[in-house]
Amino acid sequence: MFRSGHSKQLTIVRVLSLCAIIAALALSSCGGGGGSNQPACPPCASQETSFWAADFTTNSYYCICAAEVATGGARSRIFAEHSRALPLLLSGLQTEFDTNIYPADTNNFGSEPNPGIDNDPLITILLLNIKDGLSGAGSSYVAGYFDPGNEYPLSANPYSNRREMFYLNINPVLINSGSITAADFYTILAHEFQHMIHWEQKTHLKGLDDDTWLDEAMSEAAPTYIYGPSCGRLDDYEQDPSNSLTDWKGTVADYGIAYMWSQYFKEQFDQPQPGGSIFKQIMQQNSTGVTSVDNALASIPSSRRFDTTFYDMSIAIASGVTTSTWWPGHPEWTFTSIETWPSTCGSYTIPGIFNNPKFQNITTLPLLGPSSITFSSYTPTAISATTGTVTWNTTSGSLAAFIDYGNNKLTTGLVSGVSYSYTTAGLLVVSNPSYTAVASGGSVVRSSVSTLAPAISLSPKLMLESANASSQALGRPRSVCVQSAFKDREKEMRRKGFKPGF
Amino acid sequence: MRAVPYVISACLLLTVVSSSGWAMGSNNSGDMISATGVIRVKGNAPFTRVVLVPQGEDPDRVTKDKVYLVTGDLARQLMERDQNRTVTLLGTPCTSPSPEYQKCITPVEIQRSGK
Repeated sequence: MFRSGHSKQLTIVRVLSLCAIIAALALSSCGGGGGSNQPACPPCASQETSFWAADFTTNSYYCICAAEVATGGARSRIFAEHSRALPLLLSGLQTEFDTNIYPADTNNFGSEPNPGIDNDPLITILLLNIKDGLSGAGSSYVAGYFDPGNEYPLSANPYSNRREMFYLNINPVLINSGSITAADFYTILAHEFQHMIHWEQKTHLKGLDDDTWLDEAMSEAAPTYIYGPSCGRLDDYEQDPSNSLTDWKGTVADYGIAYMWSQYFKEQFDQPQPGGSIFKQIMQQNSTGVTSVDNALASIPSSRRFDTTFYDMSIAIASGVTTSTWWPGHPEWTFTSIETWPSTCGSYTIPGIFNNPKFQNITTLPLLGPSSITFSSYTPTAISATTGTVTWNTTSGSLAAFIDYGNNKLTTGLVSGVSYSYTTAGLLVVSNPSYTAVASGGSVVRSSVSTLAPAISLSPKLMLESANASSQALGRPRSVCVQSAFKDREKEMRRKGFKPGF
Repeated sequence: MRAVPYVISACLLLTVVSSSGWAMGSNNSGDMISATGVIRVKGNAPFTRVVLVPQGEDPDRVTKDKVYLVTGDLARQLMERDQNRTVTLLGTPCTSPSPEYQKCITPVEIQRSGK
């Protein structure tokens, strides 16, 4: 499902549901199924066509009548519910799809079902007021969806429209309030079109059903080929950067990490020639999930694999664009298009990874889910110190890198139990490259290294307090020699080059 | 806060999967079956499906006709806890509510192998 990062007051949730299909099919089957109970839409007006659509408030299907409102498209035909006029907001929709989205998605991912189940090369875009319970500002809504059930004959799915199609929500509350822009619709369409292509390439042509995380990650990449990086998705990621990439639970954080992964792969492995998208290579593999990614990398060819790239990506996320010049010769450790450091991106304030208060001086790192990353920034334990060390201890599974920001230094392949020093601040990046197993995040011992040589050991005041606290101080006053403190001060002055004044 | 509607969506999805699964299961003879394999989440959201890839099949190469669509109350638990893990499901066969799958199981018990 697409999770838009563009919403301001309303959260875009395109909730269609297998549930709806399943519920409807269940009801149908429970009622006896078969052709005699085949649900049928009532007739529409002569110039209209009937469509099944999902009612998310009841998890059922219902019929609508819609008229074709935009004809002559090279790639698409647009229908609007109840013969409504094409909203002004979407006046450019057909042109955008036909001239930008269609060529970009097919070029980077592959062909959709064409002519498909309806033997029509044109793709239907149905504009309707989606029944999602939208009640106004602050309410969630379904912006649009692709329903693979429409690719099946009625014998398999009685609610199939038997055509290649998308649904887009033109609820007046959305359109008139400015909660959704034309650009939002275009992004959604590019995202959903990838799902249609994915279904064709993997499910229809190869009989496979891809992992959700990969299908969604590739749909996250689709709009960026046309409209560039998504600030909303970057923000989604940084709100929960430790979410698993490959365990899909349908949260916003799932889309955040999927977006980051797809952008990393796009930057690292897309070839410059037309059709040179790494995602097209993944799509052509006769496999799914991580195996299809590994096979695609091998076909480029590249010696890198999913697990090693995941580790590299964890460093790139820590680095962003800011440190792109810090690791010369290692483009795999930076992003070129995504700045992960604190910044303003569009209407979003990106919190950043480094020095993020949520991930600072953590000594017990969390358990890492499959394909996940954790970060922690460190500062010296003593306020006066400028140099510190971290010692990362782990039992198994995870890999770590450390960035010493004071010296612009990156250490990869951290060894458990070894101390690593830094100046001013450091960032520990721990990743679990396994997509099947959890791993320990480990623990960290942090300390300070004094940069004053020699340090003044104890002030006279502390010496007196220490003496007073000892058992020997009981009974009668005792003298304390504080000469060492003055000697330490003199040594420091001499170290700095000062000499006696005579 | 933004995650809330998605979580609700997931709940709705699995609730309906659950409901339909039980409805379908009740149409069967009630014979219990067991299936051992790896749990995966498949398909584009929100049409995601929890499936079990039978032991001996490569989860990244198996075709749809060999895997079990998992329905019922425990599907959500499997999605939350057991992705990419090997489990044994004890349950009833069901008529697949999805046109994508032929095999279907509504588990009543999950046995975890420890991985």
